[in-house]
This record gives sequence, structure tokens and C-alpha cells, in this order.
Amino acid sequence: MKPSKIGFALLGLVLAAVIGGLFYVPHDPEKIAVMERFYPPSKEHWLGTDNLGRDVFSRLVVGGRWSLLTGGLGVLIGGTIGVALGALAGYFGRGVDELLMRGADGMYAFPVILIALLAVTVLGPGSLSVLVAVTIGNIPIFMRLTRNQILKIRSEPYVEAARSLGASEQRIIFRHILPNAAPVLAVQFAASFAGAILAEASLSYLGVGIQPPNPSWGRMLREAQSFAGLAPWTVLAPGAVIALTVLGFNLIGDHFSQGR
Amino acid sequence: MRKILSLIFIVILVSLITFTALQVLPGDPALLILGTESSPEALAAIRSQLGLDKPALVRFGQWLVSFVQGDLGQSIRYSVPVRVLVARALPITLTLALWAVFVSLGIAILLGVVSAAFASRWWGRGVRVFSQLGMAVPQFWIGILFIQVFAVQLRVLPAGGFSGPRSLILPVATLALPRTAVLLNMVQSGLANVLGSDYIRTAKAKGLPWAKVLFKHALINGAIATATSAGIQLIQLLAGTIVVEQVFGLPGMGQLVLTGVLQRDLPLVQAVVVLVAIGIVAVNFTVDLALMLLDPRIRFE
Repeated sequence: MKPSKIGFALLGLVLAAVIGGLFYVPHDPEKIAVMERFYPPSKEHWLGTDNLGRDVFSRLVVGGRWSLLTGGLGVLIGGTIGVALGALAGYFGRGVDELLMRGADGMYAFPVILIALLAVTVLGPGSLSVLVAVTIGNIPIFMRLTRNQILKIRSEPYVEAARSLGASEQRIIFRHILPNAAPVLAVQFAASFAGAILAEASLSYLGVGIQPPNPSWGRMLREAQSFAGLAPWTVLAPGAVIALTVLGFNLIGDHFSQGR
Repeated sequence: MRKILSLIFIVILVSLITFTALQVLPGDPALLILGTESSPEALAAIRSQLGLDKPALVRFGQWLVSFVQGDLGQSIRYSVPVRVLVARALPITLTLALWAVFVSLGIAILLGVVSAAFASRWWGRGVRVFSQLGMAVPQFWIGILFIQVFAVQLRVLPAGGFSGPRSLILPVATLALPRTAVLLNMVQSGLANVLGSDYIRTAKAKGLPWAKVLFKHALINGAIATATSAGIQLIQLLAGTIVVEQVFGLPGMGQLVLTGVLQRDLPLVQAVVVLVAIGIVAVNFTVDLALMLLDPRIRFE
């Protein structure tokens, strides 16, 4: 089986469960039932229950909503801004390029987690801070990539040919440069989605990401850590789901990069 | 020279970005320290003590000058100079990060070379799967599992806190394991590419000993191909220490900045964030330098 197919299958499975969870969840993810705490996986509770008797599977499905939404939205916004700015830099060149790219260099020194900590200081803990951090963290990545792609493709023979045939600058950008840059951008989008899921999980694990009562994958791990020995499923399930989702994105990204 | 100038520029830019980000903070630091029921005079006094009555750009200038002189400011929360806190936390984080770098690069290069010499399809596939998992598995999860296995079940290593070098073994392993996987894949595919190239065939054909071909020709060129991505891995490792310190309750920079963030201790957050960013700029710079040393083509560009 090709790795990319595994990627699509993994991601499809996670998405199906999360989207299905919008309509039906087997148990109320917030319902505390102290008498039912630490139930191992069973027919009733597919992945067992946690330290407050909440159903782990239901919490995973509902938590996935928040994890995927925050990360995904951040990557989309940041990616769009980054592509636009990178295109500006690559198109105008000279001073604009210099200014924008030096700015991107400065932002490059901040990994998402550091931006997130700054965002949390300013905005307080919560999903908004995660969203802001993922957005800002992705801008310089997409800027640099788009700019370099434009510079590279501009000097390709087929663009020169189009230009010598009298094609307008607009036509060259939209018909020749952007479509040829698309696969590289797609690879980065996949990698960024994967990175965003991990970043959200780390931040929620640190307690500064998505806040209760909303469950999230990182938060579940934070809450389960002390009971890892007593109820291993509460630790194994969220970690495995994070890993499989990230793996799915990465494998799909590889698929695009090999198709190049 | 140009490189060093742009390095200084980026560090100043990084400080400016951090400074600006913390300027837009809602709420008055003076109120935060004294509480809402303090007298206006006391508030004014603490504002001028913190320099809050001066324009932002002047404050940034002053902060930058004292930062360069080694004065990182005063922590609001702990009421001690930030430098003292950093001096306590930095050695732990640095030891952790450097050991993790050392271990992961060492194992990756060693295994990479060995496997390039005895390449087989299944081994290559195994390395690729291992590398994909290394990228996908959240680091703190590995830490939690390690604590469970080695500290709780087997009781061979401490579960957390800092009490000598033994407490660093599990954190280093947690940090190093996924990076090793990714780096090993890079070293191996880099080497495989190089070993298939014409000049290696020439070197072998003219009768050079295999070891010389491997170390003098292949390894250096393989390193060039992988150095940039290795730099990215090292930066991820640096960022990873923040979270891994939290898993193991190590009083390093990560814990310091996290308390600062949650308590809104601005001088502390600003100093630590700028320091970490400088660390990252330094890693990038070192990678560039290493590339220049390894590859004469870049030097003369």
C-alpha cells in the first residue's frame, strides 16, 4: 500500500469521526460520573473512562473539533497572508523585497511555541492565543517559500517564452507562476497542518491552550498524566490520535512533494 | 562580516518584535504590582521606577542597552533580577538541549554510516517508518510514557524534579528519540544519494580505500545536503525543551518562562523570550557557518 493512501485513510478516519461527532456522540463528553471512573475499554465505553468517569472516546471526538479547527484556521489565515506578502516581495523585488524578507527573517527566530507564549501573555490562555500563534508562525514560512518559488519560476524558459509572445504580467502570474508554485505550497500546507496539531497539543498540555470546559487532545493528556499507571488508556488514546493525525498530514504532504 | 551585521540586525529586530508585542498588553503593570486599591501617588512612583512614564521607543532603547550590558531587568513576580533566575535555569536547559543534540546527531550519523555501508531494502524502509513516527508523535507523550515505564514500573530512574545528572537521562532521551529518527533518515538518504553519484564511482574506480571514500567524499557531501534540515531539527529540539521540562518538572528556562507568562511578569517573559530567540538565531548562524566550511561553493558566492 502506498504511504499516501495510508495518509488519506488515517486523516479520513479522524475527520469522519470528528465530523460525525457534530451529529452524534455516544456519551456526553462533560458528564462527570465519579462512580464510573477508570473503567477500562468496553462495549459501553470504547476507550474507557477517565479520572472523572467521562467517556474517553466521546472526549476525543469532541476535542478533535477544537484541535483541528484552531490549528487549521491558523494555518489557512497565516498561509494566505504569507503567500500574499511573499508574492508582493517576489513581484516587486528590490526595496519591498528587502524590507519584507528582513521582517520574515526576524519572525523566523520565533518558533510557534514562543509566539504562543507571547500571545498568552498578551491575550491570556485560550484558543485565541493558539490561533494567533499558529497564524503568525506560518506567515514567514509561506512568505519565504512563495517568494523563492516566484523568483525561480520567473526565470524558467516557459515564462520567458510566454513573455516574448507578449503575454501580460497578470496572465503570467495567474496562468504560469501560481499554478506551478501550487504543489510546493500544498506540501507546506500539509506540513503546517501537522505542525499546528502538535503545537495546539503542546500548548493545551502546558495549560495555556484550549481551556476547559472544552476538551482538547493536549488537555486530555495533561489531565491524564498523573493517572497513567492506573488507567493507561487515558494516556494512550489521545497521544495515539494526535500522532495518527499528524502522520496522516505528513504522508499526504509527501505525496504532493513526490508528484512534483 | 555581512553575515555578522545581519545577525546583529536580526537580534535587534527580534527584541523589538518581543517588546512591541508586550506593549499592547491590556492592563497596567503598576496596578498589577500594587493592586487596584493603591493610592495614585504610589502608582505614579512605581510607574517612574519601572520607566513607564517615558515614551515606548526610549524605553526600548534603555532596555536594549542594559540587556547588552547583561542587565536583564527585575522580575516583578520574584522581586529579584531576571539575571539571577536565568543563571539558575539556563544551565539545566542548556545541558538538556546540548546532550540531546549530541546524542541524536551522534546516533544518527553513526547508524546512518553503518546502514549506508550495509544497505538493505528492509532496513531503509524501517528507517523511513521510524522517521515518520518521530515527526508525528508528540514529544511530551513520549516523556509521559517514559516516566511510566522507567520511573514508575521499573523504578530505575527518577520521575521528575532535578537532583543531579540522573534526573536528566529520561528528559534527554525524550528529546533525542524523535529527532534521532528524523536525522537518521536524513543522513541515510543524503548518503545514499551521494554514494550513487559519479564522483564516488570515480573515487572507487581509481582504487581509493572504501573508508576514505566514505569519510572524505561521501560523508562531507552528505553533511552539506542535510545541514540545513538538521538546523531546523535542532531548533525544534530547542522549542521542545520548553514542553519536556514541564513533563519532568525540571526548573529550566521553560518553566521560568511559563511562570512568567501565567503571572504576567513582563520583564521576565521579555528577557527569556529574547534569549531563546537569540539561541535560535545562533543555531541558524552556526549552521550557515558549518555549511560555508564544508562547501567552498557557498563561501565564494
